[in-house]
Amino acid sequence: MSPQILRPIFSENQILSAADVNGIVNHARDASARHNRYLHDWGIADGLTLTAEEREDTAGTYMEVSVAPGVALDGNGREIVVAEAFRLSEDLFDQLNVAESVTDPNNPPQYPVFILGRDQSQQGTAMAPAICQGSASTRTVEGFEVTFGRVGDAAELDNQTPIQPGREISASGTSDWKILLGFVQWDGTHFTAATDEADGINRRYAGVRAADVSAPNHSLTLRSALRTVSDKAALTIDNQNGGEMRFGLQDSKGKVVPVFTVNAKGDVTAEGKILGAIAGGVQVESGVVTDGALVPLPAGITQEQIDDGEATIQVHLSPRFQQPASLPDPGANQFWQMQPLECYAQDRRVVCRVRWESTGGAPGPLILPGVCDFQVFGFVKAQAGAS
Amino acid sequence: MEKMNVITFKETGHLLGVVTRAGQPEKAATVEEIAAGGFRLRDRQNGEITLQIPEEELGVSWVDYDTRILYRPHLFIMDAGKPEQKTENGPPNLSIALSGALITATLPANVSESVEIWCQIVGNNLSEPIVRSVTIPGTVSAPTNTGSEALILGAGDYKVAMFAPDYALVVFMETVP
Repeated sequence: MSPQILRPIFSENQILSAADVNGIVNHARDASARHNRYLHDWGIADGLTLTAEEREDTAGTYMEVSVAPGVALDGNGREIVVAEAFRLSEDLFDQLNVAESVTDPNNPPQYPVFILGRDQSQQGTAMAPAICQGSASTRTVEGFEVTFGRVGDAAELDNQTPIQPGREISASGTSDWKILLGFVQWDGTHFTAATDEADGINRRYAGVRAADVSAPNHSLTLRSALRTVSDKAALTIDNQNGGEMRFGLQDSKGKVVPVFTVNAKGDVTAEGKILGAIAGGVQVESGVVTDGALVPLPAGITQEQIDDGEATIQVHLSPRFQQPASLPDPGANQFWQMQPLECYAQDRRVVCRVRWESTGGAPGPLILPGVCDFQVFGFVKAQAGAS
Repeated sequence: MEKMNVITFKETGHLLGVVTRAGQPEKAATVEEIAAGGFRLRDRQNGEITLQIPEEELGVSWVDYDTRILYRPHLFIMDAGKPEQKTENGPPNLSIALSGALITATLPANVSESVEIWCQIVGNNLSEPIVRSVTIPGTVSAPTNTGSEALILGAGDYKVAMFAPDYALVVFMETVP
């Protein structure tokens, strides 16, 4: 029989057992965990940063690393709360035997630090029942465990699998979900540093899972930082001016100062440059190029697009007649004349050869790699169906 | 200040070519953008000897715009992040000799400390360019201007690009008898 969600109900004069009362608590806790599990992405909600403070012993300086207070949600929906700063255990790190035996001092290994939720029974006193019933536990500590992994273990965290919808959060095996807090370095005795990121893997923060987000006040804003932190990127969709989407940095009051706006008619207002190719449009690049190099492509057009037939280019080259300062002195009242021998683009490679000849006949003519002004026009094919 | 991209031979910093971009003046170009597939180098005698420096041997530096460099990039070498003009010279004073069993590099002047000369050799029946260095083992007590190392090559004509420190790059033909 598949697991069912059971909600306790009560009747008048019913004598409540411990199981009945626990049922109330567990039903609410499991409902909250399901909400966290299916409507949020797991990760750190707030705090839980690794902080390192320099310490000194007879062997020299080292770092004492602590986890700051904070809250996280694991992938099963379990809430993990660290109420006060917690110092990382060097003894535990040593016992876990995760340190690498050979390390490069210029690129020391970064060992991941994980936090896991842990339920622990607490022996009660104030509400203890009758003496003959012993000292049964009356509270469960919704605690945590901080542990360490080997180099590379942090890349495996997305492979963790959440429990099934009907499974209780208090069941065994539901508290093994690891959340990455950061990384530490180790010198064989002490921690020597703590960082948020290693090998492109960062602390993971909690998210929201939603297919549809609605705003009750006709205005929806996505922020990259808290609204009180100014100069952070934010995006607002609201019904101002008949409907607009505005992107920019938020000010100290959380208001988005737009640099990019699209209104409901499709009109785009951009304060900066628009880079990249516009389908059906023309992209242009110009400059100077010497013999043997490739003419660069306009921004937004790639060689792959050209190879795939999605874009074409036209190249125009004009040889420069300016005399190189390094040519020898042609003599009194004489000067150098330049004659282009060849100047064209082979695919994008410039072939430019020029002949410099002194009007006095000596020194003899020089044939040199040439210099060209170029213009490249890139044409991106319009997508099928686009007008 | 206006900037330009200079394509270099990575091992020695010799300049090979120059590209500027008006559309992206504030952004340095990559080797892939301006020298994908390599850089086609040309001699400065008559411009008819050409050889392709492989893309993996190339670098790009972002330097101040300078018409001296633009019109004769081959005379310059990157030195502490800036192009420095070097002495122009060529065979037989500045040369690579190929005997079929040995490669011998010669500089116009003795050196009193060990100097590494880089070169690229193509042509004849080589399926891929040979890019290698030759050490001129100069010392204070025994200065010299030549150095040789083993290099087996079949008889025939080869195109050689020579990258010697303190000298402008030189491209020439060399025959293995």
